Amino acid sequence: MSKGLQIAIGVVSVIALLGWAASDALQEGAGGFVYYQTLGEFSASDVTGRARVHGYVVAGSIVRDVPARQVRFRLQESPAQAAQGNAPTTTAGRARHLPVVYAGLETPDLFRDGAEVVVEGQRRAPGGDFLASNVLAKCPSKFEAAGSESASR
Amino acid sequence: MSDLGFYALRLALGVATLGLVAGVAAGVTQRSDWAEVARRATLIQFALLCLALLSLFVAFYRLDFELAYVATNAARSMPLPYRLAALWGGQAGSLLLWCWMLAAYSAAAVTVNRRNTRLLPWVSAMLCGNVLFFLLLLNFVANSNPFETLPPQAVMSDGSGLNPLLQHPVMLIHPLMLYTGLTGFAVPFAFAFAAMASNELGSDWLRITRRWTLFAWCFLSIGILLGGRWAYEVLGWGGYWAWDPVENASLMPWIAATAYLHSVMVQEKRDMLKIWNLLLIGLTYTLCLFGTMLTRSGLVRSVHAFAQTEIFGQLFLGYLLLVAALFFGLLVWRSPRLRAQNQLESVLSREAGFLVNNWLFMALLGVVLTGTMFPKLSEWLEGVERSVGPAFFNLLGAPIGLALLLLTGVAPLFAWRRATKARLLGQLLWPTISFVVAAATLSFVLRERFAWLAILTWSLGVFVTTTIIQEYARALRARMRHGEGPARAIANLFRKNQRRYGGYIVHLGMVFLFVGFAGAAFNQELLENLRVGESLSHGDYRLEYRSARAIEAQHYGGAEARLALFEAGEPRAIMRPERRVYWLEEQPVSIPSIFSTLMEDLYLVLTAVEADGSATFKLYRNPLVNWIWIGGLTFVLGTLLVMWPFRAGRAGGGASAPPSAF
Repeated sequence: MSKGLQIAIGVVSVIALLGWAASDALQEGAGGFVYYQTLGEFSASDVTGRARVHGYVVAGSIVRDVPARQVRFRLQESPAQAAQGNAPTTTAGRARHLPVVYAGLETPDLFRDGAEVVVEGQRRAPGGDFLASNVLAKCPSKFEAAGSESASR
Repeated sequence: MSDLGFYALRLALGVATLGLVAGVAAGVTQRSDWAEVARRATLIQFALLCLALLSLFVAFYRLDFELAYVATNAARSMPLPYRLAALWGGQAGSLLLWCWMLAAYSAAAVTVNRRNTRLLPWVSAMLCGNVLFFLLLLNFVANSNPFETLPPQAVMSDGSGLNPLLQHPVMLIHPLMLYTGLTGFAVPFAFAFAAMASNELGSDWLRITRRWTLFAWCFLSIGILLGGRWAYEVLGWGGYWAWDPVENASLMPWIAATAYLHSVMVQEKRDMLKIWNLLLIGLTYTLCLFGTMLTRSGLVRSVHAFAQTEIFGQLFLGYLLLVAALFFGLLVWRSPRLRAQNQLESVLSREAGFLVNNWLFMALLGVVLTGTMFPKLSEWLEGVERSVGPAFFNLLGAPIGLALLLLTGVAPLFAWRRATKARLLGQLLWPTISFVVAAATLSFVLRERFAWLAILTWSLGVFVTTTIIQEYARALRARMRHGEGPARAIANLFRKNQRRYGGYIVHLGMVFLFVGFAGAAFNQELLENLRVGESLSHGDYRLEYRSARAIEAQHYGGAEARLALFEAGEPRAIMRPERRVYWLEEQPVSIPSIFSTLMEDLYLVLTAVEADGSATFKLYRNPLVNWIWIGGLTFVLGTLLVMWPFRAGRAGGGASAPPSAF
């Protein structure tokens, strides 16, 4: 199958070239490789590039600033139910929250107090606000097992 | 009634085991009585699963809230169609639906091919084995049995309702189509397995697997398209495809099956690529299982994933590896008998075209698989989880997709074995001219918003369409020279060579799809906060916010905004985006309003009603999206033409096409 091999080599080398070009472009551009971390991991690291951070919206922290086309809120590491008992009223507790500024008003339908969300964007300086370009909320009713487990406990 | 379902599932376990054992025994000993036991077990197992499915439907109809599954997925206020469709709204019920479909396919396969006595024992063994695994999950894994009852003190008078996002007409059929596609690949897999196990490596299994693959592939295509349509009309982010792991999970088997449907022709005509074809069949079904595992085990994070249970994922992985090891092990063992007799004679030949096609499909599969698994891969390799966005898939997928599109036009012009250059150049003359004209025209028209990738895609679309028209014209002219009228010539064209000319229609559907995909290069969006009486403008369009009213439905409430759409000052339509809150599920949902033309869609979302009484709207202007649905319909029409039993009267024999009524 020397002819077949020729074709294979041709196609593979073209694709390899494409892959190389693409990975190069992706490293620089937005929407390419993104770190995915939970809030705890993110706070501990000093990532300043693009990141996806997983957390829960702090109850009562959502501020819709319509004139500025912004939604501001804070993220916490663990779900709201768990936090209710020992609500972080101390400044130390608040410090573990991540303030998020989302430049847009079109938050997902499931975005609300206590929602499990993933924010995508970047932090300009360590300890500063997280500038989100995208906010994703998870479908709660499909987490039937997880939901019923935590409710029964 | 639900007890009936519970015990039917238990009983089916025994029957499926019997089918598996009897099938293997019949395969090994060649005894026909064992084969008959296996065949009947396959039918009885289907009957039992019908009983289970039916009793679950009844439970949803009667709202038996003592069943945990009904209580978490249905509610009294839900309209009946959604209450019944709630059956596949969650993990356990969709697993039952999956298992039922597998059993239905198994019963159909052993009935349609019952005279094929050499292959049948192994076919029923493999299919019963598959059903058995799903029955084990349904019966014994937590949260997977839809007939699990709640303790009496936990039974409520109403359920918690179905996820509102799933309460949409498309969701009534999308999962059905998708599952009909995905489970359907079990049949070709079983036949290929049986051919290798029984050493019957003639042409029988090939004909059978091709037909069943085509059937399943058609439904999978419909399922994927409907999924896109649902996302577009419900999720409200203005798009139809997000390269989410759950979407990719259904796309990967489709890619492998598409590659197989092309390369199988090389085996039929030239008796080559046997090992490769078997590999593709194995890959297709393995990817179906892999995708199911991905969506149901929470291995990869997704916005749409089902509940995460670790044990489920581990069991599934074990099963997947077992099935794959059996199939591919057998393939290695039989490979000496599968060596090709013929060699590739020229790079300019149809078979070479198919070969390139297959390599490209494999590359595409590689891209989708890598992107989907990237979070896991990077976690294993680097210890840090990184994910890739749609840009990764688009950037790498687009060139491969365009190369495939080009091939769609060129490859059918190649002759088998060796194409003559002069003839080929003659056939490429008009398509090339039309390509150049299209590229020049589009470049000129779009000179202010130049997007070369979109222009290339559309020009290639024109190129491919010209080759298809040319092929039809050539064949029809030849027929009409022999005295056939135009209508009769078209009918005969399909009767004599339905695969070729139906295939061209499928290709035309692909062209339309690509036309629609490329439109995304010109997508625009606009966010605006309006008070009643104010307007937003975009290009020629102006949307005037007229009024808002409260929605009062049984199951949800919310607001509906009414906006008048003007195009160049002329009134065109009233758009009514809604923002609903489903009471029971405490979930808000935005229902976009879409004004759709062949050129573009205006997609309007009521993002929020603000505290000060104003409303925030998001407007998306998406060119050419309609061509995706048109392409999808054309595609399905083409597939039906390929599958249609035009010569049913003369076919007969052991291996006729799968039943078209399903």
